[in-house]
Amino acid sequence: MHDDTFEDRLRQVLRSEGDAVPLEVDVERLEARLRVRRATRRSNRTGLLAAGIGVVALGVAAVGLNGGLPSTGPAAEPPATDAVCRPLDLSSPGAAFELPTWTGLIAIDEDATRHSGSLRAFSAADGKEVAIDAYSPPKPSELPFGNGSLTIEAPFGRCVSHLRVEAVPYPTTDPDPTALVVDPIVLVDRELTEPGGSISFEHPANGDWLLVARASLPTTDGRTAWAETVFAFRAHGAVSSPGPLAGTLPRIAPPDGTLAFDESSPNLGFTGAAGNVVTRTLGTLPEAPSYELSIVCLGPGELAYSIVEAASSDPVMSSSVACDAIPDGASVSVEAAGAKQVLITVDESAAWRVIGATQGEVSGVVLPTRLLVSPHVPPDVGIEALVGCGVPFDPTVVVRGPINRCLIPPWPLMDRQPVVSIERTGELSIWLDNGWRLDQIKVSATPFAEVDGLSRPSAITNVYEADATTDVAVVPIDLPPGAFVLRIDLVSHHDDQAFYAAMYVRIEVAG
Amino acid sequence: MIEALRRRRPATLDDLLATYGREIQGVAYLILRDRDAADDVVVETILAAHERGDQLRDASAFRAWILRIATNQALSVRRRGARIIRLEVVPDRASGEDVAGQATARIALLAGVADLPVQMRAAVVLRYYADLPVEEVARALGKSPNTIKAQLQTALDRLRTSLADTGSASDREARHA
Repeated sequence: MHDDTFEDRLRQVLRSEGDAVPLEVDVERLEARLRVRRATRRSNRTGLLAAGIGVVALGVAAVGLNGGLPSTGPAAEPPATDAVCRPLDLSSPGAAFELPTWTGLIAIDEDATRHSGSLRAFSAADGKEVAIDAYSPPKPSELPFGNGSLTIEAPFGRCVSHLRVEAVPYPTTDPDPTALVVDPIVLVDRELTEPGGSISFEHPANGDWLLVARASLPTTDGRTAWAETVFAFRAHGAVSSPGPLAGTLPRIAPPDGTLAFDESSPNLGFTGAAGNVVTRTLGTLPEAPSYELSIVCLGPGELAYSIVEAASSDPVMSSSVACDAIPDGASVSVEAAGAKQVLITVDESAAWRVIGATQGEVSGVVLPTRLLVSPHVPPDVGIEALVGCGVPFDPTVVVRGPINRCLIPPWPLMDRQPVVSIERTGELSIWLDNGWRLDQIKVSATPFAEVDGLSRPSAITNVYEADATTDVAVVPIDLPPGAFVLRIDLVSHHDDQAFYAAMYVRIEVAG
Repeated sequence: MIEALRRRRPATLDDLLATYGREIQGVAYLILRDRDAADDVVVETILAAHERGDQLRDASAFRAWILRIATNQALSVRRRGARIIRLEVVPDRASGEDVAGQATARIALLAGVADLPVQMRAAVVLRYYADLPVEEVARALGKSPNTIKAQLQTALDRLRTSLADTGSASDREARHA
């Protein structure tokens, strides 16, 4: 919904803030930087920035990735790059050297996703690691998605003389930190021709990789320091399906638990124009001990999905499913508190559907776990209906306390759900477990054949609506013979907590 | 401007700085919340435009192009987990409730923008500070227009929420005062 007033207000605030910052850059600074760039290029062309600006050639003190390379002392002659680049400033031997606050080698994939791994740097003076940032090998769950070629960007304005990027296969389970010393595949090993330059290269193959990007940086006293960035990378490409594809997206059953979102592509079938892979944020999963996802995708390549922290966008897990129209799913247990978001990366031409659900108690709210429905009065053994939390169907209802609120799912597929058989003009008893009392209840019905799991059925009949605080609602059913799906909207309470829900049950009305 | 770039006129750097410097600075600062880093972005963006601007065929696309470079520079500057420097301005209650309320709302909006994920923040800055059309924002960030529309909608929803929360808090404070 457009809100021009709010957008105008935002525009005004941003302009007043952005324009209030004084512009302190002057032409002299631009010209000086330009001279540096040109001189660097000349140096490169004449071979002054030879590939040999390595540790051994210049006698530079540095250590390798695992700290295994000894210091070899300062160089006899400073490299020529000192005159034209912005070298690192080593104030005294052994001291932490100055790095710009943003330093890091940034990998950018074709989706323009930036992977800035943890930075590790080593003093040229004594070979000791300099504390720059928390450094630890990334966990498999932190694998970002990648696609196509990668670009490594050198920190701009900084004289990076040499860049080497290596890849090692990354185990998806039980990662072994020593994997870094396994013979790597060298992806890039070359000079950067200018500060601010970048190098693009193809990822090694589809799969999970740990990439190590290492740069040589000249220092003010004529030596070289190393900065390196390690990041995990999941390479995947849009590929044609090897076999004939189904015509349209098949139905999938919702996952167990409380439904949190149910999202699908606008198209129900593969549109046939592959090549543009996009990343989308699908929905939010409320804080819960574990999550269930049901996924189906039809089209080229695969659908990659990840769960990230809603507050920080930090990744929790990621995986992928082939877009082969075969329903798939994931069950994820999490330790970190807070809501999560689900993102997918998929070719725009693909059809897909992703349903997310929470399992276990949602934080801070003791919820009913089941809706029970019985054709007998009083109820004896009922059957469990499909449960999902929702929003009030009556906006005038009094809110009693904390509300567990999430999206009302669309009419879900009920193929595998148990059926309640009921006589024509019979009654259904409906109640919640865990001692929740019903305040309001509304029942609507649609023919079973109308439910496709993707859209709202065209024919919906209002069956019953009532206000009363009771343990059990007795709902008269007046429907023609046949199979139906009932949607039961309800408002209930337990102590001072409220619960709004939309739940579904499959019934068979006898002739 | 493009003609001047093709001829490498000496005054081109000056012209670029005068014409686009402030806007680039604003975009970079709003994304990064760091003046020094924003300065660096201005320098690198103008030098990049100076070096590659002659390759641009459509003169009318120059502004969007240079802002695209600036955004990419700013995004590459941002470090993972970088500290966001928040504006901590306490509204002067003595200056009147309306003024204090406006200042509170302004701070809440800016804080809300600073809290957005960086890509979303960049989209908001390009759309609402630089006034670029959605298609240009999408091109600058390497996303589809639909993705950007969705991001902007999400951002606006979040900002409205943060503003509403601040408003409620202010009301409560006022009632207790």
